[in-house]
Amino acid sequence: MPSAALHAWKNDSAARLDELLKIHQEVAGAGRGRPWGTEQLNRSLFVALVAQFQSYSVALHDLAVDVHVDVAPAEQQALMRRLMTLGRALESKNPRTDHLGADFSKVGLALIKDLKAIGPASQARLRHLDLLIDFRNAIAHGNEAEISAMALARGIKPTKAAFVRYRGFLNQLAPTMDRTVSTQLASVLNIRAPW
Amino acid sequence: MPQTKFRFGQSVLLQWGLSEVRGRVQRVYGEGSALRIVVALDPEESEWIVDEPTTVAVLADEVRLAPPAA
Repeated sequence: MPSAALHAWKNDSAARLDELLKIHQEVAGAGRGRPWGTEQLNRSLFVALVAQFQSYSVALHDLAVDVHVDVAPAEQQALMRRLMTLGRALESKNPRTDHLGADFSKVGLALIKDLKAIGPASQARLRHLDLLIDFRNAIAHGNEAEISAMALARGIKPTKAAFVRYRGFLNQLAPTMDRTVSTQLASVLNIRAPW
Repeated sequence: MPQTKFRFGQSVLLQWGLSEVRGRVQRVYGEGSALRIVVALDPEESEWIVDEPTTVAVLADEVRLAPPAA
């Protein structure tokens, strides 16, 4: 059973991204071959994609905190929640692997290490996540030189096709994160998998 | 947008052990019993519970609006 965070990613976040895609389709048409006049819209797709993945990551972290709090003595619960969310990087920074790793370490998990241990496909998704966020940052900061350089050197371009591709990577990464967090929480706390 | 009495920038108090700490609402998200508030904490305003500006995420029912300063 997926977590509430994954459910929201698959439904609420997907609906928000689909809403933007619908606008894109109205402007550019459904088919391929009309790449002009939509670059800024394409760029906004990448910003929205990272924003939605950030929301998912925060929600998953909240759930991990809830699991810890639920098994803690009542007297410690409030303080535990504060300490586990104090200075959470995901409040103000992108969900890069380093920020995800640091935040989930506060709930006792080595999330990135565990995701990498799953295998090459999972490792590749983490690399794609960081590349996507670098690209999103270049867009958000109006860094035209970096956007061009990334297109040339790293093969990521502000196109709808690239957006769909990277959305696909995140759609694969999110359930893997979900399962990993659940499994590791069960192991750390010696409880049944929370979801 | 969640329906709540909390708004961005409001001064709030949250329990911290035996004391209460003052902060400001930075973000409100979630809904129902999972409604959460991200509270921005500043060293001076929090009376040095933190040593640099940071945030903490708490459940909405663990936070109360701070009374106006005297």
